[in-house]
Formats: sequence, C-alpha cells, structure tokens
Amino acid sequence: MPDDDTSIVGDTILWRRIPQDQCIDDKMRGRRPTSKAFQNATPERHAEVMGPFGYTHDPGMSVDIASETTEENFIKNNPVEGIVEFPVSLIRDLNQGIIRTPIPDDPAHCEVMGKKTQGVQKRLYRECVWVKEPDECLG
Amino acid sequence: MSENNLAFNDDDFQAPQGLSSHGITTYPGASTSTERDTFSGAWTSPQAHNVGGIFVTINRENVPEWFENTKEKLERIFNLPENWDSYGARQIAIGSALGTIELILYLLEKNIPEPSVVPINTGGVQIEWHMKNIDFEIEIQPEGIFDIYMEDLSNEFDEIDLEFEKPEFRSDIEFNDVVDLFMEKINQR
Repeated sequence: MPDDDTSIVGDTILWRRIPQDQCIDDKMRGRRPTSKAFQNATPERHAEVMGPFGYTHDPGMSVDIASETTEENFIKNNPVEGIVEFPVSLIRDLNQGIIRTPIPDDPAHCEVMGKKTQGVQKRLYRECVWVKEPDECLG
Repeated sequence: MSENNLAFNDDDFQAPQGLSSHGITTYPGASTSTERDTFSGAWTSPQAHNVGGIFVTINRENVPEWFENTKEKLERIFNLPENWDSYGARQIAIGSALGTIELILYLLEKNIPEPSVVPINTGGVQIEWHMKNIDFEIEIQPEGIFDIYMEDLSNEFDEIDLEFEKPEFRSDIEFNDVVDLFMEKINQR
C-alpha cells in the first residue's frame, strides 16, 4: 500500500489540471481527458521541484485539495487549461494513497501515490468530472 | 529551455531512405536534444544530436482527409516546450516522434480512422481511438516500445495489453492481428 494520509477523508475533492493537448473528443463519452493525463511526475522533475523543499519521497501525481484553493489560483499560470475533480475515496478504491506536499506557491498541493496502471488511469478518466473544460480540446 | 525544432513536411523533400512505400529521414540541424532516463540522469543521444527536423514523403495517392489534421497535431506536440502540462512534463523525445510517424504511416496503409494524438509527460506520445464500443490506445515510449491496449465494451473479445519493440512492429504478426481486429470490429459495427 502506498503512503496515505488518513486524516484526509474520503469525500475530500481533488483537482487536477488538464492541458488542452491532453483533452480528446471520445466518440462514445464526449470530451474528456486522455488516460495519459493521469501519470506520476517524472523522477528528475519531481526531484528538481520538490527536493528544494525537503521532499524525498517517490514521485506521485500532483493534485490540489479543491476546498483549499480557487479555480482562478489553480490555473493562474495557464488559464486555458481544464480542471477535473474526483474524490479521495476513488483513489483509495484504486489502491492509491494521498499525501500533503505543500509548496510555497501552492499550499493545497498533494500527491496521489501509487503506480498508475492502465486500470487506474482508466477509472480516473471515466469517473472524473469537469470543473472547467479547457478552452480548446486539441488531442 | 529549447524547442525540439521538429518539422513535419510532406511536400517538398524526397527521402533517400524508405519505410515501405513511404520515406522518413532526419537532417542535420543546429539544435540538439538532451534526453533522460530514470537510472543515469541526463544523456545526449547521438541520433538526437543530428536531428533538427523530420521530413516525411508520402507516396500514396489517396491520403485520407484526416491526415492533414493529424499532421498539424503532430507538429504542435513535437514542439511543445518542457513543462507543457504545468506539472513538469518532458519535451517529446526524438524516439517517440519518429516512432509515432512510422506508426501513423503504417496505419495509413490499414485505412484506419482518424486518431486522437496526445503527448505524455514522460516524453512519449499516445494515439488512440474510442468508437463503436472499442477503446484502442497505442503508447509510443521514448525508448522505442509500443504499448498497445484494447478493450471491447461489448465483450466480444478479451482485453488486450501488449508491448512491442518498435523496429519489428511492421512484421510482427501479433501486432498486425491487433490492428486488423480493431479494423474488422469497427467495420462490422
């Protein structure tokens, strides 16, 4: 079982940004994120970004706790991106964990820990919900 | 932070080396591309050193209408900067770009419908179809591996999840069978 902060309750809503290039027009389900929008960070990038703040854990998938940020703040660096949400209970059902990894620019930052298998990615794209669709769907 | 500077031009370049009835070549350019692996950190591949652009010649009379759209998508994602997803994604690797083009040229021969094409944060590319109760995804990894996933929501066949080495995919019977199965099912339904 990956690291999991059980003080974050199951109905906590998580947000993840979806770049326009990772939005596809699915002929069966409509506009949605590709499965590959749900990946762990690459190790070198994770070390580069999180290392200076003292984090040494394996890379997870970055998310924010929705109630601790705002839509405007969450996509402030690229307002054309989309946002999807899903509950902590879903990721736990997928044998993933969640840990808080706040950083100065993003105190609501967390990481979803555990291997993102095809099955995990599939459930995430099928069960996540748009908070905001990207301005364009380019995939 | 530099761009890959990859071009995808099917109009005015005759490739001296071929892939089936098509040609792909690379030409020396001013840019270089640094790639990374998860074990030894950054490294620069000899191939990437010499790649400034990718030019493709397509010797096929009836290129489908969707190809132009796909070509534009490829040009865009091959030139995405680092951190294009705001979560620290890598640029698309040269190996993934070449593999994607080879694969799409092969799929043109199979009369496959228009794919979605998406970048992956590892530097890979995924092409995918979701239609007629079938989810079909092919991930082109930077290391030259094709990872195929296909699921039939009608349950006429079992879920398929296979890996193939890029250099051999054209002659791989199993790879061809998977693509043929997809074509057979979407044409039937």
